[in-house]
Amino acid sequence: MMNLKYNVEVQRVLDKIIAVLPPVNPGDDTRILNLNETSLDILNAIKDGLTEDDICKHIAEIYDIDEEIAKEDTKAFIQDLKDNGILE
Amino acid sequence: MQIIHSQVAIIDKVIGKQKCQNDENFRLLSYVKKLVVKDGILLYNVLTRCMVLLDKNEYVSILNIPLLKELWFVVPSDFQDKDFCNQLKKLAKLLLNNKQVRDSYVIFTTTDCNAHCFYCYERGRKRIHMSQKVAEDTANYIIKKSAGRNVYISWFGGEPLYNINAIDTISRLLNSAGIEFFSRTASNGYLFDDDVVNRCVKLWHLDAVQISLDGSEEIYNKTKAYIYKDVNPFEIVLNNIGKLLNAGVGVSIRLNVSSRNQLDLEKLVDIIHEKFANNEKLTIYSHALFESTGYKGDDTEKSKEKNFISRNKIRAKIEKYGYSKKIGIPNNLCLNHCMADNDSSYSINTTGNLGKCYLYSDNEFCGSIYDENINQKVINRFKERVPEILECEKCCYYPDCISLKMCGDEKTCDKFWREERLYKIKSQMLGTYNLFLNKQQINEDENDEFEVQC
Repeated sequence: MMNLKYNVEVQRVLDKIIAVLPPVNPGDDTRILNLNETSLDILNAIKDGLTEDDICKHIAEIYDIDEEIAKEDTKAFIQDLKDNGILE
Repeated sequence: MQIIHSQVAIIDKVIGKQKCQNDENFRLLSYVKKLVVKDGILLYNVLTRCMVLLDKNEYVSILNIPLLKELWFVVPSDFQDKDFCNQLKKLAKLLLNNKQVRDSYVIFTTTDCNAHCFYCYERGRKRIHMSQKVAEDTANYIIKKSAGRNVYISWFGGEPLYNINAIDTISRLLNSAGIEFFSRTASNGYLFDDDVVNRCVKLWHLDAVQISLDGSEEIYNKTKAYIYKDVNPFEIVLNNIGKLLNAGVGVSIRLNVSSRNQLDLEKLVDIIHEKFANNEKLTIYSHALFESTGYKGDDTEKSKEKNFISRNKIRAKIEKYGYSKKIGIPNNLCLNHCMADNDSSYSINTTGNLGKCYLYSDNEFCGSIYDENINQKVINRFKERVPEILECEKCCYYPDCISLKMCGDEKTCDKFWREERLYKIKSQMLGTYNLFLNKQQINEDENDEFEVQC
């Protein structure tokens, strides 16, 4: 089970999807992460408490793609979240 | 085409340039305002804060200028202006939320007053001084919450200086704790004698005072109905304004315009000019008495119109003498209306209760300086907005328009209100443009000097 360390807020502006992340240190600037539709679905699935395997299946199902491709996308985005210190 | 004022950083950093297909139909964004000046045509995007100067030829082909598309002045005909505006403001608020700190306070030192204006919205409320203990506890609360950051204080009342001890106590404790702060006050100006003006500068770090005047001598003295006998309050207050200005404190004179004093206020502007002749620290503005004062006597369509025409005449005189407040285009999006919907601002009343608006000094509290808990329901109530109306859809002022339900008369959007908005936007455009011209002038002067030296 993956847990987000912080509440990550998401805002759409026209065709952009922007995740707002808290600053690394108090007083620093807020960080942003540009998302696409797939990464937004993965983020929402993490918030819903799904495991990595379940997320891959979920992504494969809603985008009607091969589970291996879904796994690649999911792993890459999860790594991105870890690199940004958002995922425990 | 010249860029006179850049768009807000959030658009450059997060959203970027608009990318359009050339085969689309285009129009101006609803929030673009035009103003003809000597050198061409100013176009101001009220949402993005970008302002450009076009020459007449460019203006003719305005929809075909690529840079105007990139800068969100020109958009496809099916563009959703209001969605773009709301999405952008929500994003800006999210980016700001993580940085918000509690650092701005309106402190009611007393609800008592040495004047008895007929229009006072605090009439009928209990008249209470902040005690020595509450003043000390208020200072300690601010020190604890400031966490080393700068603090902004507005002394409020009643007449705030009627309990000068509270201001002294709070200021002294903040100074002792090494808190960086500056303060302002809304006062009738009667109590600013030499000793008080000295404390304003040295102890209170007062940088500006707003003083309301209701007319020249006779009307002023009658309207204010001070408690003092055998004195001329008008003369005393004007002299005190002089003392504040001489001490380097900014004074903003608010002329309360009602049906009773419209002509007299024009005369008053002459008197002020004669006495203070273009003091740079002095600004004057007019205010319709039916706005935010709780006074309903003039609140009819006809009297509003009369009041608006009078205010325009008074404003013209203020401008002629050069006492208008110098305003320019803001560098941020408009995200809140006032302290009521701003999470970094609180009021502290005479007994230590926390509030969200100076109009509510004896009810609608959201907490206390003696308690860490904040009542979020009250906070949210103050943030509730007046529902949008049909006119909002294409209104040029929409990006800067926030109307709160708790806000009394200001929630009415009528032609007078829109005229006020137009005046403000034009002033912002001209203010920024004049600054741009002055900078250009300075640069040209510097170049001349360089050539001479060579």
